[in-house]
Amino acid sequence: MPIATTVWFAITFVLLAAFTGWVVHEIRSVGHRHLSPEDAFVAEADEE
Amino acid sequence: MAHTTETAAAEPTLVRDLTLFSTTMIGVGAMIGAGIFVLTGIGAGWAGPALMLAFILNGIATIFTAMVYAELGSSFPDAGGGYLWVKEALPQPAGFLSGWMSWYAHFVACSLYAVGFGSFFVEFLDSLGFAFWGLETAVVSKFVAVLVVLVFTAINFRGASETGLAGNIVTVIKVLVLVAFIGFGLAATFRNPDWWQNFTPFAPNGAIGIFVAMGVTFIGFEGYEIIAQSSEEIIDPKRNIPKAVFYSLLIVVPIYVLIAFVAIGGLRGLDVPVWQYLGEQQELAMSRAASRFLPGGAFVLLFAGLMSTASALNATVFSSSRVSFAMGRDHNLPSIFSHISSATHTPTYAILISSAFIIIGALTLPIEDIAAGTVVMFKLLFLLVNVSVINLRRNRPDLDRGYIIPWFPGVPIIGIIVKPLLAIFLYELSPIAWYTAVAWIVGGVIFYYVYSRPRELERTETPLVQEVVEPHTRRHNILVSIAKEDHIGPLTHVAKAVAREKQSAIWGMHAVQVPDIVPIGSSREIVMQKQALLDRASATVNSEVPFNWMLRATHDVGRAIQDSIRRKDIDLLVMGWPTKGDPDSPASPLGRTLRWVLERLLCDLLLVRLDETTEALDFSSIVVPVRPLGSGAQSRFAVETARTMAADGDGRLHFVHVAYEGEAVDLENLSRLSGLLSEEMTVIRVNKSSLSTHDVVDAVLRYAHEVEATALVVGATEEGIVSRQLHGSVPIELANRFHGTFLLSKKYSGAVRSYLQEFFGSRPTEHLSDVETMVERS
Repeated sequence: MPIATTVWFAITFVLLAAFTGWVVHEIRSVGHRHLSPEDAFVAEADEE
Repeated sequence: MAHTTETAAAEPTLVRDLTLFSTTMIGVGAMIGAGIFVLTGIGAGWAGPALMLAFILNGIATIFTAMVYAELGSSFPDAGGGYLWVKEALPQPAGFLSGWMSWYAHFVACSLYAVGFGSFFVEFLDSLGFAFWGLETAVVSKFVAVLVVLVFTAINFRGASETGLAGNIVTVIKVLVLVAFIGFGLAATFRNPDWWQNFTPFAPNGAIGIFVAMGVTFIGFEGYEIIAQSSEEIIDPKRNIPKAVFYSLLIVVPIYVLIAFVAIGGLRGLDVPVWQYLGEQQELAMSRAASRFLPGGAFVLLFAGLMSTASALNATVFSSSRVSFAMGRDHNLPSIFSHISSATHTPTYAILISSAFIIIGALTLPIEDIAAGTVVMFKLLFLLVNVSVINLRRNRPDLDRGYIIPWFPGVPIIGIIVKPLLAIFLYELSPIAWYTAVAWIVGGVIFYYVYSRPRELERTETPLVQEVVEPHTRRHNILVSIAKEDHIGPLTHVAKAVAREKQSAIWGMHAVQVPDIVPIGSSREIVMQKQALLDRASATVNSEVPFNWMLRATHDVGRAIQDSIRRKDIDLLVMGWPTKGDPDSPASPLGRTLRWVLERLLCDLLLVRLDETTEALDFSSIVVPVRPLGSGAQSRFAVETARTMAADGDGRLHFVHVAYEGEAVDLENLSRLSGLLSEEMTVIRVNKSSLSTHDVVDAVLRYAHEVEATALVVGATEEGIVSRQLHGSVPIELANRFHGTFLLSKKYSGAVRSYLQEFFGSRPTEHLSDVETMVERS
């Protein structure tokens, strides 16, 4: 397989892994963040 | 004399019966509904083998707006969708345009599904050897497209819709067909030792090709709009809406990437590169690919494609008519759109007119133009939704959010930038999609100002339940907003003092906040119980000055106050500051109401600090800090107010200006601008040691202590957000630390605000229609 095609495949699957990891992280964060009382633009993770 | 208005009937609510699984399936079903079956070939023709990359990049680009939908969906569990959120968050005509664009996006998407259905149907019959009596397949395909729209129009007319269970089954079957496609495709790919040759070159049309493919296939990534529209029926919506948004993406994006991989890798023996072949097959590319490696592949894919486009058609006929119905109900479209059939309980005209547009789109445009048209409009709608989430964070920090976007406002800002950028690339594919989109938006703006705006203005005239003719006509009117019985004494004390001096009439008002889900008209009984509060206020004022009152029901007290200011031509608003705190802090107990009023002030304001210890106000010794020259109008108003209060209670006045050590003070000019004599002013100096306001506040409080002040009258500042972050706010800190009567005055400084300020700033839009006066009496 040419190097260029190999690199493209690698980029695609790294991005797919990153996408999956990010989405899973956001699913886990549902209900576990709150807004900072001082600044509504700041999200804080709930304390365990 | 008294007159009555209609009271809104309680609206039926839907039962929440959609589980997380069902909600996720709604999202998955909407995404793979037709996009992947219809648009894979067109996408491959542009991106080549890099269609895989286009899909994953689309997935990543979609996360940003998906997060916005997750937050907004979890914040408004009873009413979802771009139109409703934008209407809530942004000033007009943004709200109107979001509905107008959403309507277009949905009916053009429906045209796309109709054309896809027509093609699949004809191909399906063709594969069975049907000859169509010698007619062109393209003509038959369009005929079938029109027919299927009419069928689903009739189904929607009758009010039948896909049930949750049937919808789940259809979606699961579609996913299984695609999994089979992927499985057989992978086997076919790796049976070929030179499979990688199909992927070389990887991106034959370069980055432009990838971006165009991202744009054209985007419709396969926007299931979150449909999830949001179903929010009324979702169990535990605060958690399940955001989870379903993300789960549906987690399911479909890897499937899309694998489909792109096998559609290109699984074919061989073609005269042209595989990606080019798929591009030429357009909406039939998937079934043509399947026919080469899946047993009965063409039949199975066509069957799944027919199911997908049919269910997507049903959903979009429903949602396009639902959007136009909502706009009709809001008087943004003619009332015919909001007409509900008494026989079927469906919005018949909204369905009919939407279907007419769907048929026009399906008949007149090629499939690429239809796809590009719907994507362009969805992206512009999502742009507005991204702006809305920023405004709602600023203006509605109190919303109970099940999911909160991290890295705010970075995430929506990326959405704001990326969405139009990708839409621009679609010009390459279909200039006509952009022309029609721009024409639709311009037409919408004209329609808004010619038709909708005048009707909206009419609606802001709040209906009265009861009105007693007002006997007093005064040139100066004071509105006293009374929240609690304890506040009556202090607030009327201030109002009476001003009224005596200015010969004013006083309007007492109590606004009862009704929850959003309760129609205002049905809250009359609860609201009327508050009448005693205003009777008591009336007795307190006695007959010294004319006193009128009104009892109002509202979803938002701030809006009720603003509406009353307009209706009664109010010059001065007197209201309480129920406890200590910074009105700009989201956690402040002052909350939205005071923020609303401060930010949209339409008249002068006197804010009386009231806490548990406040029983009566004492203006026997008043200190007035005089602000620097730049705040002349505010200083003058504070001085005037202090003089009024002192005259009313025979009090002493102490005017003080705080300056830094070594700072030159033009006492003459400062006194003149503040309406004082220079000898009335005391100047005290502090070290310029830090940027903090503490030194200034300390100096004023020391001085107040020295002169045994019982009251502080402070003019509001005009400091911007950045300045306040750096320096704090002198009035707020004084209010927090001074023990005694505290009065904050703010002079009305005009209503000139730019549209951009209103758009991006912290001023919520007005929905005065949700304020209703229950009783009004002089």
